[in-house]
Amino acid sequence: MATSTYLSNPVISIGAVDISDQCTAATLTQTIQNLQANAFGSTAISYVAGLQDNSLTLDLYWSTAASETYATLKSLVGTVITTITVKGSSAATSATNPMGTLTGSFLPTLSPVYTLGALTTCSVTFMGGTFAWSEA
Amino acid sequence: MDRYIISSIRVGEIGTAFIASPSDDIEWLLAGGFIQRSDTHPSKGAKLATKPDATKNTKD
Repeated sequence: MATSTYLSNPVISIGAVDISDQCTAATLTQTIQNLQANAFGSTAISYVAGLQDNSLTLDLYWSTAASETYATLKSLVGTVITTITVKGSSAATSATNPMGTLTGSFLPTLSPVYTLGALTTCSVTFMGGTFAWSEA
Repeated sequence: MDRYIISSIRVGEIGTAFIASPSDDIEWLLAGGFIQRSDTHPSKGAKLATKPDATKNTKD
């Protein structure tokens, strides 16, 4: 059985900024709302596609050094982010290494977590926007 | 037309020209210190105005 194991290769870019080396997890949720489309005579629930409701959650180390997590995210809260891309490997985009692009998502919150005896982290969720995979 | 040079490894090779695409938020990249405005194209010997973050990230 073929599987995809990612140890250190995934590439996460917010706009032109590659934030991969601060990122420990990326959860992409591609959702298209399901709208009930039943009528009299229906014998089972049926659906049609509604609006996209995508999100991307990144788990990041909260580095405040120059050009790191803080510098990248501080001015994005409450704004629409033009593009965020996620790819399983830094290799060329292909059918076996597709690149997901979230366009026009919104960053509502920024919540660093300061914990005693642990690296400070931050989990951010980019909500909404249009999502598409590309293979070339 | 404004020219920019890369000042962070997160965007590319430091000191090289940043070629903006239509989707790039230039003001955000400038504010974050990822690129700098340049009056001179890098191929003509432009210098970074501030020290780049050339050191490898240490997850501080």
